[in-house]
Amino acid sequence: MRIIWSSKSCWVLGLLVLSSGILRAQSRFQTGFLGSMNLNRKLTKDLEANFKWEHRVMGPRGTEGIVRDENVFYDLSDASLLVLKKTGVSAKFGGGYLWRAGVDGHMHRLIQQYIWVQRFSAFRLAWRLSSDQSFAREEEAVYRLRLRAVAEIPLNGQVADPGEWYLKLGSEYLSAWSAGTHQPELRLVPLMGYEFSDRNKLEVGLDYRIRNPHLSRRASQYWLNVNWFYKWKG
Amino acid sequence: MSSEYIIQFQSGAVQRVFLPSLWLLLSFIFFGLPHRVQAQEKFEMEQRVGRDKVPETALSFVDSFTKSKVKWYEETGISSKSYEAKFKLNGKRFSVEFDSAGSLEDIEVLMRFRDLETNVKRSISAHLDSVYDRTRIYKLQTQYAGDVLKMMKLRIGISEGLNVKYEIELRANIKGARPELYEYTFDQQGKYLFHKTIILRNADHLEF
Repeated sequence: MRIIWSSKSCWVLGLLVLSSGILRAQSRFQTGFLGSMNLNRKLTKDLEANFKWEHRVMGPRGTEGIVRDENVFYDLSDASLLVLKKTGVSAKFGGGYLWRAGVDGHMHRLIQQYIWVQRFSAFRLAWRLSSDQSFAREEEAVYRLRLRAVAEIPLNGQVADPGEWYLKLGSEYLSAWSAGTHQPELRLVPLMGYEFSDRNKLEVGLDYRIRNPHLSRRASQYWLNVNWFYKWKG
Repeated sequence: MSSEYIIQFQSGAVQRVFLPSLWLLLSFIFFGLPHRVQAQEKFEMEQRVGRDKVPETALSFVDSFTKSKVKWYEETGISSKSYEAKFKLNGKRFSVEFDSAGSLEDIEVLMRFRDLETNVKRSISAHLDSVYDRTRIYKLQTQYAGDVLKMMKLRIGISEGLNVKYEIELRANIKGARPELYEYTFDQQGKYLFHKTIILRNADHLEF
């Protein structure tokens, strides 16, 4: 593997520096690791299944920029299965179920989502509009609406080919309602991806989340994000 | 319905993790359902290259053609290699393709469908309307091929004596069916030559 240094590569460095600059005095902050495995399979000409297995490990956390707790421990795992139907050339609609198990118990989530991908000369842009409903014993149900935009920018050429790197920039806005309260969240996800083949990709980067961004006392999360995507031939 | 896993950390702490028997469902979906055995996939790669990688003949032609900033790409197939120069000239996007030795193959210019001659537009539209109920044109390129000296005149908009084709990327469907992406090629008069279906690259890493 080698990285071709270009103006695009400098963006990556700039983003990572900017991201680290965000780690300044915040009310509360949490760090950790998020790792996921995504397996995809075409079921029929128009139907596709996605299985995702994700783990979360909590890292150091604190307030006002000072680490108060250095403990690192496993937090939870998610297993989800989605089935989507192709509704257009680059659009899909579907839903599924997520099962969460962790130190705080179990949680069930129903998911509905609509995805569409736009192609431009030098990059691709994917949009995802989704809603989900989460239920856990002895807890109020949580209802969320999400809008995400993700861009894939090849770092060498106009298309990311096998053996090449790409930059993936994601931005997502979430709105959650539970027990009459509303909690917005903003996510910024800059990742570096490597394409082993069109069906096999690995990505590493930062998943930055901030809850209640409009309030002075915000809660920020910094996750080291590692994702693997594999699509079965079908 | 769930499987229990035990994780032991270096400190000696033990963590129980419960995962559902989605393994059964997963196994069925990904291994149980029949799937076709695909033929060998087409191998094609393109990457940005510096001027030092481009044959001198190709460099010489493009340097004479334009003073604009040029991006060079090398395209590699299973048994072939070509070079492509992309630049903007007089407000238009040009793409000049050369073979592995640097010999000029063709020049493509991006343009709008509405800028075509009326009789050409009419001919192309008539053919597409005879095949599909709905079409939407995304991209149109005029492709020029022929003598190198005549190709050089394209920089001042002269295309006489050149072989001209129109390459159109469009979305189309027959009523009741899902739209597909196609690439159509027409001759200089707008007469249909051939077409192919465009297969989009995998975007799972963007969708999920």
